[in-house]
Amino acid sequence: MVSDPTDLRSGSSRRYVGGRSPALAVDRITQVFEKDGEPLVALSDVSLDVRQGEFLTLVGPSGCGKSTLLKIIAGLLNPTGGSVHLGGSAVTEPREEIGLMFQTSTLFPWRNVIRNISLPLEIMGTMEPDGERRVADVVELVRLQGFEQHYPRELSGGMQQRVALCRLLVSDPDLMLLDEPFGALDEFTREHLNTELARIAEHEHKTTVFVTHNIREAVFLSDRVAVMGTKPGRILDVVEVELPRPRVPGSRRLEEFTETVNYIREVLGLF
Amino acid sequence: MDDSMSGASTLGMDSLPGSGSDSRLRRIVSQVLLTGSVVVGICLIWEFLSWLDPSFWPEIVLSKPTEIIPAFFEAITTPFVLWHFWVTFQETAIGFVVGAGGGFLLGTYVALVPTFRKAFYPVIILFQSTPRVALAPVFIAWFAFGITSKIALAATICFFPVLINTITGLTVIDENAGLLMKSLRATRWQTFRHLRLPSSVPTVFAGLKAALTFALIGAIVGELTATNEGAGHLIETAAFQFRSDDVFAYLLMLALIGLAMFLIAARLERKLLFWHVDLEEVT
Repeated sequence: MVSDPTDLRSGSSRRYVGGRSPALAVDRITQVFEKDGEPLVALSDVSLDVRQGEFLTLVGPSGCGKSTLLKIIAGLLNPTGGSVHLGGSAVTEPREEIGLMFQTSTLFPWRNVIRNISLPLEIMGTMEPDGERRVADVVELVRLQGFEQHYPRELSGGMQQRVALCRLLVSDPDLMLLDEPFGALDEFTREHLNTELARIAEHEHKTTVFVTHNIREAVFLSDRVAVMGTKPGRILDVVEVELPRPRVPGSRRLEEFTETVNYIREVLGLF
Repeated sequence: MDDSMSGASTLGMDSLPGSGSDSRLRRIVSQVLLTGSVVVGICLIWEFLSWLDPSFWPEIVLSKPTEIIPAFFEAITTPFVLWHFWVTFQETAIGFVVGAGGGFLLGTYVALVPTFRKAFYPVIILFQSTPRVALAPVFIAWFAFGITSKIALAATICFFPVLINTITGLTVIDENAGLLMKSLRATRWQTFRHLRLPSSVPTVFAGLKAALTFALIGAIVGELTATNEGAGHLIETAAFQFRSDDVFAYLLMLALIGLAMFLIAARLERKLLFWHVDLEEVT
């Protein structure tokens, strides 16, 4: 269950389709912000490798720098020190093969569901030739059929996040970054969308980095969980999740699930 | 619990405001009845007070509703009066288009060029804090007595609210939406076209609605300052001649013009801002 964070090849899972080289390599990232003239270390020497097709979650209390780390991986923030490599090349600015999703759905209220989903294709200029078909495909994958013409304000929070997930998937990114996407939802909707996301992730085999402060959510979704601590923000441990796939609601009843959740709570000092 | 089901339940058509022509009609009727009774009530009290103590409410200064209403119907059927109002309407309309259009264009430019914004913003605030109707004599000196000086005043007054609201609307955007566009490597033009411009519409519209009223004020103040045509001129002349019933009839006409412009703007806003959540409370 517990793996050495420095060993890339530890653990085994059936779903890593790539070779042994990591798809995403985070190397000794340090981030220092200035706060009231004082340096504030948000991230200290964070290293992490994510394998091709792996679902990795960063879990930790607020202030541990997990969202900052995600922004750095996305190329939206240049770190004070260290580097991020995706598919062998350094990430220094946003890239088309990296997709982002936030806690707020960030849908454009003046666009209907279909036009919100096709936004990335319009921006990237890849609507032709098969954009419409790809939009229809992700709508089917995320089970949004029948809501295509609705406007965001007519949808519940959970449905809005489904649309945001479609918008993330439509450009077929190599790396998906999700920043607490279900953090603002109620527990029932969150669990339901977790199941849906697990199904989609297993179907799509995409390298994914997911950020949350919900330990159960982290364990349910992930192949590995990177547990982060605060002051300074750093990785405390990387935990291998030995839950069988496909993950279904019943997975939460398995002994491995509870054990892993408890282990992470221990690492975080919650016991 | 299936989320798609909970999603569907929030979509029940009855929960969507403004659905069904029946409830819409009922809403309009009740609105008209409520407002109508307030107006009738004010007129009745007004009439009663002037009947109670005629010496305190001399006719030449403040006419009774029973005198104003006939004067109003006479005014709206007199070609000479209508011509003067037509002049005022032209000044207002041209002033609005020039001022609001200019405010929007400069606002867009200032919003999109950071250096420009830094340089211009303090100057804009300085002008914004100046009571611009005080410019009336200046414009009369520059553009003479004719229609041009009134258009200039109307345009100047409605320029600023549109300018400031355009700058605000285009610069204040949802942080994550901005990050999303950045992560998609959107060009500056794409971010403007797909994010900044549409999300600025509510703010810009608020500025436009204020500007509409301001344009009418500008035209009237210009006419009151110096002119021989327009509604302001009519009112001034009537007041000097102690024709209080005509003064109030003209004021009523101006109020109705203002109301008509506001309703047209509100209608247009509803069309453009169908997606905006707060709209139901506004209109």
